[in-house]
Amino acid sequence: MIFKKKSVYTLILNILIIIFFFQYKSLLHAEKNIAFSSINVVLQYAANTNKNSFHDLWEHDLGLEGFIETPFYFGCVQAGVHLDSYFSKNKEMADFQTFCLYIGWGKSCSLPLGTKIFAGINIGSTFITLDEKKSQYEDQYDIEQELRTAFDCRLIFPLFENWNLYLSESYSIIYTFHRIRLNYISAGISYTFVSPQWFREFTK
Amino acid sequence: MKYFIWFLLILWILTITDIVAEELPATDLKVISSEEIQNAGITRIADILFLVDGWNLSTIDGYTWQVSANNLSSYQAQNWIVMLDGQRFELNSFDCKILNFLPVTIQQIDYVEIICTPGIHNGEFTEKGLIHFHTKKTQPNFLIQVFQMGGNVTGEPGPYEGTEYGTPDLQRIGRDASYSFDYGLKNWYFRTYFIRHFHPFQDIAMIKRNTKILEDPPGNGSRENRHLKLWFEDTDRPKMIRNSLSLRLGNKSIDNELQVDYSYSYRYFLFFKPIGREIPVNDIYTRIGLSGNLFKNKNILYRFQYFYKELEKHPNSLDFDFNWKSHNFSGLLEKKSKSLLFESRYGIEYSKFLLDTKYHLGKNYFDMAKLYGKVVYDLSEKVYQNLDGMICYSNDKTALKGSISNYWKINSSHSLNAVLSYSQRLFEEDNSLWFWIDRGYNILQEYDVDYTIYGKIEKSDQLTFDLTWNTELGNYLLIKLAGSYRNFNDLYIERQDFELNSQDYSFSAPVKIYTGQNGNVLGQQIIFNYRIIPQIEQFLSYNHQVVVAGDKVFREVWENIPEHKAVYKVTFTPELNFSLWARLTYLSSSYWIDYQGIDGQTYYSSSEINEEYHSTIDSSVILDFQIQKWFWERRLKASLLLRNVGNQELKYHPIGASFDLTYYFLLELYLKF
Repeated sequence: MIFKKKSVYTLILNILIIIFFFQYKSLLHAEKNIAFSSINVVLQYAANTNKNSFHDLWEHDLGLEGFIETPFYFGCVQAGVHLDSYFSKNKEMADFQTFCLYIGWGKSCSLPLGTKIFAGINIGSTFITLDEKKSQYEDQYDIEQELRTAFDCRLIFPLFENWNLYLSESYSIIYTFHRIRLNYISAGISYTFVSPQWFREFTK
Repeated sequence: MKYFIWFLLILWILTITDIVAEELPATDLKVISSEEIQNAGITRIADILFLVDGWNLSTIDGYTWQVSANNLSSYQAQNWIVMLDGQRFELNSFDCKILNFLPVTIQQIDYVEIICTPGIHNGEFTEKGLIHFHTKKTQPNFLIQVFQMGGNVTGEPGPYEGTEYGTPDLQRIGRDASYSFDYGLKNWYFRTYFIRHFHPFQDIAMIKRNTKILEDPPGNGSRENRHLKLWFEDTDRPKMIRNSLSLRLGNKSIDNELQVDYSYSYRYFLFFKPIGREIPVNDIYTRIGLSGNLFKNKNILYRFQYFYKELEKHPNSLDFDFNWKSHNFSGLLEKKSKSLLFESRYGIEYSKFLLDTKYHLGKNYFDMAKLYGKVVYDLSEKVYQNLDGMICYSNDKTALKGSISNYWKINSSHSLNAVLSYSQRLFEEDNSLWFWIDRGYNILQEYDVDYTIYGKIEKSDQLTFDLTWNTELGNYLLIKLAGSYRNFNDLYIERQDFELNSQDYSFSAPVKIYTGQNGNVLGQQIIFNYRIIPQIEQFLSYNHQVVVAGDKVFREVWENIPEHKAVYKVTFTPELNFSLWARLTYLSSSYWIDYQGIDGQTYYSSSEINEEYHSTIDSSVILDFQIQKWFWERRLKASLLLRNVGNQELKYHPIGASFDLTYYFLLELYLKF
């Protein structure tokens, strides 16, 4: 199990390094004209697929992810939210929901038949809301906040004009004392449009 | 009275001539630009210390940093000088210099001067190093600046909280904020700003002792400042909330400025070493400063300042009260002149420090007068020399300080700088806890802390020599090689052999003050600054310091400082409004003899964690990383900063916080009208 986790991690990291290596020169000459020229809105359902010691205590219930992405000086950047709900298998443990706000970066490559493959990384803050409070302090925050990083690999299939189908595999780590490592398979759709003038002016 | 007559006499002499000199070059000056600050992952003012090559740092709580400035001192006796826009700031609470209490926002900093060798800078002799913050000039418009910072340390319990797998809740960092408003006219300007800091003093290494001292304070239920509860978000957690308000009113034509500052740090956990733990206090200060030039030709500079500081009691289980209210007044006059042969500055400063306390003091104040001069002259077209001298006088004792520096521009690419200094230092200049204990500030006796002073504390002296070779190859490579020698004599050094008190996780040991301590320190430094292409700038530095001779206690205390330090920094700016920055730091191990008695003692134990104190801090390799993007035509800036990306074990003090992977979000807004 540990070997598999590390393999996924290493594979995605290697893909990113290879992309970076071959695109090094273009990175030095930022693509100013393309940057922020379009917006892609994505909505997808996420299912948690892995099993580890965390899953001995909690079970994934529902996962939704929504993000927008736009071309950057190199690759594209994204900002999004990821919602998850977990219910406890143990009466002593609380059910909880996570709400992650993140930003990310990645690079896509074209494949035949208009499809694309994408690899990226994102980082954000996960807010963990426990259904029951078991705190040593009266004024304990109801929401725990923790760092989350994720590696993301995606296949993008064109559907109709401006509409695409997304199939994703992602591996995320929530940096609690006991690291929470989660693997997701996601499916969703996206809609792409030319970004409005105010957006381009704001971002540039 | 005699000081006042001196003062008038010198004022008269100073006003005889009116020849104007330009700003004199400092002997060994490093300038940190606002651009470097903006790129370098700075969250609070004290983080700027990370940008200073050759300065070593230590901290217990991550908020207050002890500095060894270019080997001019150990971590004891924090006598390095802090200045803001030409005014000296007394930020010490005993031996803690709290740079984050400086009333300035990161956004306002134009540049920072770092003086690493002894010499005169703005009327101060920099025998222990100096850091001088300069703020941006107010432009003739309205400017509103907002800064917001939040972050969190990783390793919190998350959903495991309250379960058998739970670990201590370390709490988020900051939600720091600052707001400033500038209004400028052609010749006049007004600036006001408000700064708010939140800092948790509850890392796992200190959470038990800091929580314990807040429990059940005597007179519980009648807590002071209850009425401020909402404003300060008063809880029983070891967390500080600091608010400060500053006003500036200035005239640009003769650079006159009136400065007023007020700072209230609610429940600051002051580490008071004699008692071996943090004591919660409300640290309050008020400052009024006036500085500028007397005449339009700017040949006579003046500086007046009044500083009031109070360590207000915060309810605590020890009922500990520092009972400390101090008043500090200082006034300075400086004359600048320039002739065909040399440029010079000379001046006089008078200061008075008064302590208001319940303890019966033999004399509750001391005066100090300083006379100084600085001369720069050219020996040839390629060589200039700098002569600095100061006489410091207090309580019928005199200290002499002087330095000579020689700058030789060998050719367009190479230069050599040599600085030789000798300085004496009066006990009064330290203005330390031991100075006031000597005068009758009997706080240690009241709280049953044993202390012994072996011998008599006299004025100390030091001899320093610095040699620096700089070379510049084209505009893309700078190399600096430096060596330094320090000879310290008649220092007084504190030693304690701490033991852990398992009831409240504090430390205790009798204090031993060893006087007449001598020692010699050698230091080396090499720096490469390389701009491979315009978008990428790299920086590599290596510092080494070693005690080559000295008394046993001197050597023991210097072992606190890592012998080796290496830093690699890279800034990548592919586009004007976007940058990436990374820093890799190597620190060798350090040994803290005061804490050898607590080696292997457990400070936190659960089914998940077993943490122990150790007197040796292991070496570390730490990576920090920042992404930064400007928006809205450079009105809004967002940054994401990751510290200790590899989540390595990182400590700066044996009983201090462990700095795990931490992330910060920073937002800055600039609105100009």
